[in-house]
Amino acid sequence: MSKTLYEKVFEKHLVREINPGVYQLFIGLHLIHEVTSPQAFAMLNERNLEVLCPERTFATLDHIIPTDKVSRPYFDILAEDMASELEKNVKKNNIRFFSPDKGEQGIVHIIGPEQGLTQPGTTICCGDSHTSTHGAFGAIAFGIGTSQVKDVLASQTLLVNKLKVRRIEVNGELNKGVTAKDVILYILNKLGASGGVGYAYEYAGDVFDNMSMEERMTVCNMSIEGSARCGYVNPDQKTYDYIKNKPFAPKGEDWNKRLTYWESIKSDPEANYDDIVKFNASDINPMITWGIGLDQSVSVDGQIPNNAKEANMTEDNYNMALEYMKFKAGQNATDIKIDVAFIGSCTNGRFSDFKQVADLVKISNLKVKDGIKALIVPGSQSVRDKLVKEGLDKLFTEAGFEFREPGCSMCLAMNPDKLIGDQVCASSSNRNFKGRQGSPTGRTLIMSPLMVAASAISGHVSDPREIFKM
Amino acid sequence: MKKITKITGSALPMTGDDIDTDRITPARFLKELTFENFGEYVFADERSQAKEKGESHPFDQEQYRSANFLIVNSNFGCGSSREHAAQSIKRWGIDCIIGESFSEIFYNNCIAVGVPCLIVDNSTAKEIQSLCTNDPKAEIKIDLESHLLTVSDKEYAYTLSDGVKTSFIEGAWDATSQLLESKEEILEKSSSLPY
Repeated sequence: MSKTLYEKVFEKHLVREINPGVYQLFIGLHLIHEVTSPQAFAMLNERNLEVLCPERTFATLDHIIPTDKVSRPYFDILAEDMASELEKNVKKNNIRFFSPDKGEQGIVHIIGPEQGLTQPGTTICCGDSHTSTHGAFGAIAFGIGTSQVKDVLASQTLLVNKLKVRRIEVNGELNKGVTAKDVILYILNKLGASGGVGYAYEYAGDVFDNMSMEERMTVCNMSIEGSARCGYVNPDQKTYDYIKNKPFAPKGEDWNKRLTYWESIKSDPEANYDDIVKFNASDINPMITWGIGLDQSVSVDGQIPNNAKEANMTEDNYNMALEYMKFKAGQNATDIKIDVAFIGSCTNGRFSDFKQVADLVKISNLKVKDGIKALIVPGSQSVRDKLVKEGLDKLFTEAGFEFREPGCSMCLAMNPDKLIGDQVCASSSNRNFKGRQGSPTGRTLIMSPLMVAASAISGHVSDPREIFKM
Repeated sequence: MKKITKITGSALPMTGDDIDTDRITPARFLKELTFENFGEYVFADERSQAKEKGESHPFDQEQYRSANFLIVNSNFGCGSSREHAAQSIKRWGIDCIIGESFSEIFYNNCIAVGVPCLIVDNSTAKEIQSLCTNDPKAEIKIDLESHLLTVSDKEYAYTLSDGVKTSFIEGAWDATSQLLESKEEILEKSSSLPY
């Protein structure tokens, strides 16, 4: 019988059906970080339980880590407590820790792929909703809460329900200046913030076939913003090439065996889907969110919707978004002035995200507008090292950007990088929720790294195709 | 664990679609190492902003202070996986949430903390919200075993999967012990995988 990747991987990891529709699923890879794991370890201790498969759990420090002064103890006592708690827990339980001291630290969804841990046909969990990122490799990867982190630590399994699968095809060729970020923002706009409840998203078609692994990660990362629990792309030669020679990649004879497995879990051509939607690549323009949900977006040459109907929102939600953002109905997106620019996060904090921006900044010889605070926050120490090696740290600094140490930073502002008051931030991160960037009245515009850079240069929302003459 | 079958009380209506977990529990509170104080943080920013405007957030309104049901609309709890959101709601005093739909991670977090989430259709959610707005004391009852939901003695249909229902009524909603029953199969599965 023909099956989707989701079904094949699910069956491969199924331990048993506990209650009707409630399954016990084996989790092949568990990633943890300092914010959602301490209570889970405390719960284990309370019940005198041990970590069942410590070799399948890997830890990093990302959410609270400062991006300026990284020496210990951290200035923020609570952050220091979280970091020490994590260090204590990984030591006690023999869990591999990608620590800053070893130069392996980074955002959990950046280092999984970087280390070669993220592989096709695996099940991956982390106490973080953007775990969907790892689906770019053809893994079933999803976020969990802290009690479930405890379940995985204790049993390497989880209680789950079975998801439906929606195939999202985008065919044709993307317009110039349109990035992976614009593609996923477009999809979210069309399918809605709640359109994915109960689904896994399978991304397919020319556009995803042509994307690099890092671009696929950007797309899968934001599946959760459409409320899909996970999103994936079927693995191909690009996937295998990316994994090859990474620290945790299979070596020698194992490589061929693993490759056979990876090939076997791809969706069959005749597989049945619960839903199929198709879009044309040529309809997609550079996108920007204007509201407080990820489906509240327009193309950069568009206007803030005039009314709820035009925005395809309820009256209440439209009014709330407009009031919070302090924008006028019908105003041009490009008239929005910005105060802060942020390039980084698990969505767009990889080497290619920065390299692409750096190349354009270099050719155009443009600088960040005076008065704009512009942050470059690499997703990991390895990404940062690579940027420094190519001299891009200097290039960014000379162009007026601050080049920081790696971490989640201003995506959720649990570290000292925060908006102040109702500042407007052009951000390459993943969420524009109320208060998301650290100020209860701060305003976030989600866009591609290219558009963040273009907007930092002009001081207002700008089409990168115009600023960089693409 | 405690068996959860019948809950009786009154309800607090919280209207709006796509209410995300950043709104329910802002990230800056996530730096606490235990969940102990989270009842105070539920909708913290929205509540203080309402106060500044001289308004009162539903979670601060006197008539709902003893409410133990929360009535919501669609995609409640979307966004971040933080269990802190479910913990905040429970520790504030909510025992059961009734809504049009829930984000899945939030839904699972609610199970883990022992708060059943019942799904009702759009018109039911709105009707119950308006009922408890007009009469905050309106009695609301659920009986998971006999699959009954009533508000002021009027019966409404709801959905709760059999599996989840069973775990609540058998007191098995804390998954860990159940998962560990099959320790041998788990270890077999681990060694049978190609990775």
